[in-house]
Amino acid sequence: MNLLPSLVLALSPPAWLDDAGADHLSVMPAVHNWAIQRLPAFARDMHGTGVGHAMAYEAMARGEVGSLETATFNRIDRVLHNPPRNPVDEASISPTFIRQYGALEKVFDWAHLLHFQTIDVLIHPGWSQARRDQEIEKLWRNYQSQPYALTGLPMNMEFLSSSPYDGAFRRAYPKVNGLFWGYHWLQTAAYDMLYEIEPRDQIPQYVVLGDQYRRIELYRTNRDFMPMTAEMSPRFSKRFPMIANAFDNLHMLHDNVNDILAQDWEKPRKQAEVKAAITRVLASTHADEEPGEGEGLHDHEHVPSVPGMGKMKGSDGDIMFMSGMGWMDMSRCAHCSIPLPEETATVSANGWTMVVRCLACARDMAAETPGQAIIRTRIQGSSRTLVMISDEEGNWQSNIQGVVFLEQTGEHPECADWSRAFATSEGFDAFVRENQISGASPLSLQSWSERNLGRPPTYRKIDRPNPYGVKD
Amino acid sequence: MPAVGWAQSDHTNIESGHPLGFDDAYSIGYGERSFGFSRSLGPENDFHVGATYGFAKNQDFTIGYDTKGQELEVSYFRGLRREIEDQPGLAYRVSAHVPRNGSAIVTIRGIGTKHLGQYEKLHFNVDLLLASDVGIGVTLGYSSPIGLPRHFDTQFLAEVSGTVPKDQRSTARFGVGLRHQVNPVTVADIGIQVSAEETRLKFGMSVAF
Repeated sequence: MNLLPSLVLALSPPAWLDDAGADHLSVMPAVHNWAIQRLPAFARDMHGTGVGHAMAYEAMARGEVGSLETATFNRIDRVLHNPPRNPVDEASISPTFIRQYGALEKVFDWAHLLHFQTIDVLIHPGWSQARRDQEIEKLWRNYQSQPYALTGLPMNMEFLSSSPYDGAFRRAYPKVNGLFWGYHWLQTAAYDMLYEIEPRDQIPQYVVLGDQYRRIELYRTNRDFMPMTAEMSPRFSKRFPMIANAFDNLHMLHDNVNDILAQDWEKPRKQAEVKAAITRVLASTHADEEPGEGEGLHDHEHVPSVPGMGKMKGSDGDIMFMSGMGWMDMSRCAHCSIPLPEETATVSANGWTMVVRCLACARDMAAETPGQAIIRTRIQGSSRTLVMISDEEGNWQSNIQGVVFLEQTGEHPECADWSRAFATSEGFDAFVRENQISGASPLSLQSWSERNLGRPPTYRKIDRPNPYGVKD
Repeated sequence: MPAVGWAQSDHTNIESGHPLGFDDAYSIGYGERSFGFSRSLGPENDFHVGATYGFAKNQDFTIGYDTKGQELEVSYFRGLRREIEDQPGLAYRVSAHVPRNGSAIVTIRGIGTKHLGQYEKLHFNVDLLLASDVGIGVTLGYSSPIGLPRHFDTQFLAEVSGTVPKDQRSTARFGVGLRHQVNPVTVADIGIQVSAEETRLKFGMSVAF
């Protein structure tokens, strides 16, 4: 597919792209603002991503691309190892870039503000989940009220990455591109760490995720594609697909801009291409459109079971290629390949997050993967989401003391019924009685951890070539 | 320059009085509300409080009170353009100082901000004072981040200014100061201003809410 250049010409950029005003916007006043600072390690890493973006853009705007993989990378890396305590004004780090691409700054900053404020809502203590959801909807309406807003519709990622210059940046500057995709990994993985999870259960997860981010994700240079929000945070994306889409569209805009700045073009051409890239993903460009109704740039096709993720390269219905995991059917359990029920669990390990049918699938899938893992699921008898974290030897710890498990091994199509967790033994007894399950006794966390059912016979590996043509 | 989505009260957005006498060419963010105070220690001590509201893009409104002259102060700031390529950012501020006993002084200030090198900035302020006497004031301000590329929370400021009131002798002043980001919503500032008549130590704080 190589349709992008002709369609770019058909779009007329909005007039505000040429506005001379600084047009700075403030956060929406709210009691939750800057709650991110309650998770200091996470906050500092997030602030560091802003520095990393800005330093790379400044080097590119100043024609210092020759230093990107060496001096600039080292400068960024130093900051990422000692990130700032406070949010950073990116414009003060990349003044040359801002003077050349001021409209882009407005789009980036407005979306980054949505990033921060949604995170703040999820960290702010004392609110019910319903109150949080309501506030996030309000933030989304506030975000969409400005012309700089990106569309919340799914964008066809294959289409957006089909320009002749696509991939130029990551081929020429793989280490700095790895940093960019590392930041985007952190920004997208954070949402499931926070969503529907009490603030006291968020910090222990970031010990695992922060370590993964700082040790591994920042330095990966073999990703096939940028991390997608619904891949990294499927629970949040299912609830707020428009926000997941907007973040993916933002990150794709970053990629497009990187590819443009990596070209050996005169500045006016780069500036025109950047404006075209902005226009492609603005909400105003796609006003009143619906998924699946238009064509090309406007088709908004998404993976059917994941409305918070635009169509990926080579995807076929629910089957899509996930970098690091291979081909997956997004409507089925990643471990047993049985269709997913409404209530699911997720397992995060080695940088990926997968949706599974039951806790047995989650545990056994984690056991197949080296390193620590996190399981998240809603459970009966508690409004608190169960969060379990394993060490490298597969020893699990739970945020709910006294959690017990039902595991009466049966056929995998029914695994969501025979593999469950309960906040209390009383809850277990009531469930067993109600469902007339005979001979079941509650398993402690320790006993449950020691089990392993192996790879279910129902698992079907999808064997197709990598559509990105890169060996992961 | 304050950025969208980052610190609400931003140490890089320079406002007159915090701690020196010049402005940069940028308003506070649209929707931002901030409260600030500054204490000035010299031959006559002074305390100033003010609240600013970014009521529209590139525009803010401030209302304040100054204990020294028992003055009520209102001002309107309008950013006209940001820095684009080699062209400076431009803005103006219109202020009215209304002393408890006396007539109001209206000041119209033209503001230009331009980078000098990669990170340093010059800020050129020209004041036209409209009172019983008409006067002109000129301030050349300088700002530069301290600690780059490892630290991102402090700005160094300096100024040279001169005021020429009608039929009076001119006054010149020199000042240096710092603005430091304490947390995402708070900026602390400290500075010293020296003229032939007095030396004044200034410190203050701005908090967004």
